[in-house]
Amino acid sequence: MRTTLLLLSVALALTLASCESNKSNEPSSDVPCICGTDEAILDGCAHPLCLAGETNPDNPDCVCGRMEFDEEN
Amino acid sequence: MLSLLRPLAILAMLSVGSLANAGTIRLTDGTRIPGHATGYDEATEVLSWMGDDGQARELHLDKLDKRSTYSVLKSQVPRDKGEGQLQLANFTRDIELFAHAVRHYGYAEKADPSLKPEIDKQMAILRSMAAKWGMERAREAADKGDLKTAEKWLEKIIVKLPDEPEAAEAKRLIDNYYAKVKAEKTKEIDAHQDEVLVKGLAKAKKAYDSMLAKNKKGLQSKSGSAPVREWEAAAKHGKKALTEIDKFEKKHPEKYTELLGGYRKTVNQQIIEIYMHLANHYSTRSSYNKALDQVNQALAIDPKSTEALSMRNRIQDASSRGLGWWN
Repeated sequence: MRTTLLLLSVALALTLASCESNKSNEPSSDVPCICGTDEAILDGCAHPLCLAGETNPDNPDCVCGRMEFDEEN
Repeated sequence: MLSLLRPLAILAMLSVGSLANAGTIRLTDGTRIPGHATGYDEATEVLSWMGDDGQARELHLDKLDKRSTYSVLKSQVPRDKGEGQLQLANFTRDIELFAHAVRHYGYAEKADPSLKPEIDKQMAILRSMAAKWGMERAREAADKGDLKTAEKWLEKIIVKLPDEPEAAEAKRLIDNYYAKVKAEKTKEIDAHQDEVLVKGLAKAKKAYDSMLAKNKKGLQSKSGSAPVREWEAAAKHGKKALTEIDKFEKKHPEKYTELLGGYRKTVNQQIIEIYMHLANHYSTRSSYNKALDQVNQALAIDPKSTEALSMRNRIQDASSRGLGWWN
């Protein structure tokens, strides 16, 4: 019984730890896109889309993604 | 009914497709043309662009502004081509998109580690250019009388590019702005006529001033462990200031609540700034765990701090992708 409880506790602790670590590794979405500003030139933009190498459609100055070409042409 | 649904579904699919490729291209004169790219001829350097106005355009790269040119060129270079990424990084650096260039140097090294000596050489040029560019921003701001922005750029140069000659110049110049910019923040408390408040917060004010002095010393000290010692001491003084504010509030509940809330905010903002200096210091030395510790301390003070959240995103990105910071 004790062993079962101990194993369960360890499993629970590991699950919680992994949830916590996944949470903290996710880039925060509360960060604004600063592409196009002087600050971004030196610091880089920390918006999650920019860090993922994608263009933020809400900021016309954002060039973090690759330009996509219409497949028909 | 079914005959109506089918064209609608096709229309919906088409609009999703065009949205996925939607973008904006900008010309050298600043004109923006929303639309999407339909092709690029590497030999002639001509981009085919279909505007949202239905007009097809053939645009030579010379006609595009630097950001749009970068966007086109980036689309032509696969991330796993070391030599291509190196050339792209050099181009991106030369048009002064420094942070983007750093990423491409990182990709180049990852794709072809044998390029490292050349990348190191080019990165040295980048750091020098970035420091000069940052110094220009500081001077521009100072010329406009915007001391706060000038001081911010000097701090950036010191913590991000500590080995450049401009960092030494920034350490000297910071004397001109630091006191004035920081004094602006405590103007209210310094001018207060309420004797109970002035006397009761004297220790808090002393601790706050010590924090500022240590922070400045950290910014001006030579590289190595000296800045870390000064900034850690500065943060401690900041916490002491907060403790003193709390003590005062306990003695005088309610009367000064709003005012003390403002003081706490000022002290906390300064402590967060110090943690950001420490995080930058560790990041430039690729000590990402230590850098994250500093960011987490800042977030414990203000979980919504944009600076701290941005810094955490950058550090996590650099460490998870194995990309270098700035050194």
